[in-house]
Amino acid sequence: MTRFIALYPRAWRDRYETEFLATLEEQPGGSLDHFDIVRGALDARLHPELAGGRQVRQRSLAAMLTGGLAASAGLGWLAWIGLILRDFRGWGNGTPASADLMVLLSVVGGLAATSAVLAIAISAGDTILPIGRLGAILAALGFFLTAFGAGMSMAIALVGVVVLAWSMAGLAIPRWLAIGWIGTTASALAAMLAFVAGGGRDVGLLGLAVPYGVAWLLVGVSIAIRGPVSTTPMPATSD
Amino acid sequence: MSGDVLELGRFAEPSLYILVSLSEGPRHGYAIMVDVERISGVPLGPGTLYGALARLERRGLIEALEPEDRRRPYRLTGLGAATLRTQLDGLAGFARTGLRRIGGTTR
Repeated sequence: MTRFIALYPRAWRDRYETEFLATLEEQPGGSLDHFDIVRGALDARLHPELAGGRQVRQRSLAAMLTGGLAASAGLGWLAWIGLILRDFRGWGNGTPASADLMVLLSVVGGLAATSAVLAIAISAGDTILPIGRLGAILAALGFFLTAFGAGMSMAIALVGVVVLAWSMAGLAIPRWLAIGWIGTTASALAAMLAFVAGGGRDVGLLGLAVPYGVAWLLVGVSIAIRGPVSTTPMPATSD
Repeated sequence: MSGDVLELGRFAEPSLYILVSLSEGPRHGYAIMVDVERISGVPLGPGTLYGALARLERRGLIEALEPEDRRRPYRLTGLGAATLRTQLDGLAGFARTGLRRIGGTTR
């Protein structure tokens, strides 16, 4: 039953986790209690101010926004790659009907990724390693350039993601996801380089870039669920 | 800061139980659960308990004391005691009215 505590937002856990777990140990509970805890977690997410005032609410909203941007980047990327795999037949084989949509998705996904890493850098302040903020700025630059067609700038984005994910591992995102984020970014870059090196004929190579979009989705969900990136404890009753 | 427990929606009834439980002295989470079930017959789930405790604490009706081991006791504040008295007076009046009416109809 104690594993359900992970459903509560971080600010709530900072304030109540120890005594809550002590209570659960004394009262093992049944399936109704499981439901009650899940419902309590939902309530705590809907009312983050209960665990620490306005500042916590603002941080939670910032985390939701950041997570939403990251998830949007993942969805945009998946849709973009999906269209390419479906419609694109290699360079010189005519322009697919969905070309405009591909460009639009590329820009939207790239800008969402840019905004997400900048939001992480701004809101993470006292939590991620200082070098992580530098990584976020580097990643933002890489994604921004990639969005507007400079595919090689994915290399800059990869360096930024490596630094940022390393500094966030175990905090806003679990370690396995940090490693996955880095790995799938490298995989996406390798797929693009291989595609270009092959003269743009083997579109199927870009299928290797699909996990990258999934990783962004998971990163977004993780940031939104784990709550504020900052872990500074808030006073229990301040407003 | 409002002292009206009835504004707490689905947490109103659990909050009232918790205030009554704490009116006897400070208690930690599990002791509150046991006491509430004993005095009301209603089991209080851990999620509901802490949802209500957080609301009562935020409204200044209870306050957290220093943790004992890993358990943190809570106690009524002055505002909490006054609020509880008002709520119970209101409920007592309501109960008297109801009993008088039902008594009148059964005669």
